[in-house]
Amino acid sequence: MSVSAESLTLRKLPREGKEESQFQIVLRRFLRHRLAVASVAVIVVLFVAALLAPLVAPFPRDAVDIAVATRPGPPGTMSSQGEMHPLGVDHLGRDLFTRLLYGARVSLSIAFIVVVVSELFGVVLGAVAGFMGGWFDTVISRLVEFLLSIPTLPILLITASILIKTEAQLPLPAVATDFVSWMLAAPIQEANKVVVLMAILILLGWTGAARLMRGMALTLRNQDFVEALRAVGASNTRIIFRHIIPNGLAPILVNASLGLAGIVIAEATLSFLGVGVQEPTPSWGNMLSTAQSYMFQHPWLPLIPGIPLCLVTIAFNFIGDGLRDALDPRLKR
Amino acid sequence: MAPTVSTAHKDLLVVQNLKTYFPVRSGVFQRVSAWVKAVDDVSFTVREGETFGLVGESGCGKTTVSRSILRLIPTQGGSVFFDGQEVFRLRSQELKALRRHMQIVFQDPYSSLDPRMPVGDIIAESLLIHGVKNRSERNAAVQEMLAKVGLNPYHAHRYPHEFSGGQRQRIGIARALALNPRFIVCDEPVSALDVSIQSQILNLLKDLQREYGFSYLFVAHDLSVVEHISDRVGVMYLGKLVEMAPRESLFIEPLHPYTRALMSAIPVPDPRRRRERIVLKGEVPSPLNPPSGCRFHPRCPIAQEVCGKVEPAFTEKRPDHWVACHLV
Repeated sequence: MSVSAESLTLRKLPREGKEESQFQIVLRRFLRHRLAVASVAVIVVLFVAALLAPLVAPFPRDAVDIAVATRPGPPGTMSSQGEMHPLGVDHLGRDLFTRLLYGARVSLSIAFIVVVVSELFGVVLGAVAGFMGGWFDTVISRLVEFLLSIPTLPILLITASILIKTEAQLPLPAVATDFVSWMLAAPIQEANKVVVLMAILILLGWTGAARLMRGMALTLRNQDFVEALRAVGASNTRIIFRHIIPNGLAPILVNASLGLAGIVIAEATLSFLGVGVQEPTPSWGNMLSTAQSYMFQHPWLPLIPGIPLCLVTIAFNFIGDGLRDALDPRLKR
Repeated sequence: MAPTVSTAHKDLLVVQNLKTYFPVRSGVFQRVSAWVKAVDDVSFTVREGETFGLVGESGCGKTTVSRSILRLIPTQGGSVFFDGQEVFRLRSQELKALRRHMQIVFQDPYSSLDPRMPVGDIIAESLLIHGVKNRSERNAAVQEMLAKVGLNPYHAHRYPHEFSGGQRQRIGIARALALNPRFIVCDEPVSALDVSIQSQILNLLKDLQREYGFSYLFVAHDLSVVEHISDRVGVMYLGKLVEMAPRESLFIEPLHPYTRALMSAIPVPDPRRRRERIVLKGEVPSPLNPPSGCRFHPRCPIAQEVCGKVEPAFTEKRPDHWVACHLV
């Protein structure tokens, strides 16, 4: 019986060259998740808009239009040169649409850099801790527990206010700050402050990935294929980086996409409280913060950064959901 | 059909007084409070080109023996000589060089292959680790190994989940073969497979042995499988070797009462024949606190007073037939 079953499956399987890779399988399953696909579209549009901000934006980022009579001005306010401010102007007379685009660039850049770096840290530390065990695992696990047990917001507030108000400089290579400055489309001095903010978010943000990866490593290291690798003499580095991490990556991807939403919100929260991204660098958070003072007279003002903020957060969450479903090994095909 | 039972063959693997204990930790400071004596003072040899079967019920330590020999788990004592080299004394580089010659095939074909890696890479990886840098050379070897175990070259691009259990076991064998080893541990290689597939895999293992001349340490709990494939057989009970003999003499004339009980449990495909079934009383004692004297005495049908007091020595009662029992 089993013999014939074996030959049957053989005939049914695609021939060489047409094999579906694991990536294709995941992609196919992800594409079935409508909301996730729509969310990807939203993120892509926002991304392109943010990337093209210097080209698309109708005004320079910090240009103040003092001739505008009503500040803040509602959408459709005309400038002194007779051009329209599509989303109006803020209390200083700066074009809100322009600042929203640049703000998107800042907010999304922060989210991506922070998530990529912190997941990388978390994955490597978690995998090594889980696989090697011993004192290293104890140190990492206690550190993760410590970081998770302290309330995040006060810590963020304290560290951010100390570092940002003192204009601390991180000892980073010039390439890194140049890169951030390009990502933000902002001058180096502004980028430096954002780098500090990102560092704080990374420092508190790697724990989730580390815990996930440690758990995966703990189960994976007892699998026979790891024993087989030891039996052929594979080094620990090879086992961790070529086998443990690729096998534990699925939940990390989900965690990362949810983390993106979390970081966008965290940045907005800090900026809203005045210790995040500092003026004149625009971010959705500090736009909300300034809008707050005027929102009883001009209720549309907080909606301008608020709606895209909501959209992005929801979109990242849906992408996370879609990834979770697509990567779930229990679901077949 | 088996190679002649052969004192003429040279000893390839010599296991002497192997002891593998697992620590039991308890309390706040994780202090070692007791030891599980999974393998306690086991000695045997595997000769060049032969298959040494190791049988025993679950938890008797047979898998632990196989992992200890390959230095995959730490041991508490004893020594293992592979072709004259003492395995437990080797430094990491020497050990890596030795691993080329000692390979393992696992029981569970589902967890023994990395699910995220194409089969070709799984087989090629051991070559890469052992310094075969040339990609086309590795690919050629992969094709050759796949053919040897009865798979097709295009299977190299597929992932393990696309294969059946028997096919995966073939992949596991191909991986073990890739380094051209002289000794392969088969840790219950067929017990997770359908009976019809079992014989295919067993015959494949035998054919490969005939072609390459390597030795097997064949760990199993299925006596008919062991009888089919082994040249010599060791029987383990609770971390100890109780009997060791060439296949014929063990299956025709088992000496140890435990082995006799095991033999009586082999079903005979003849409804008219009544067999004397020796049913052992009780459960296997915990290896955490093994019985005094002969470890088998609480369950032994012929136990006498001495058995509870003095541990029987493992002695050669017949030519090449070793038993640890006072009463044989």
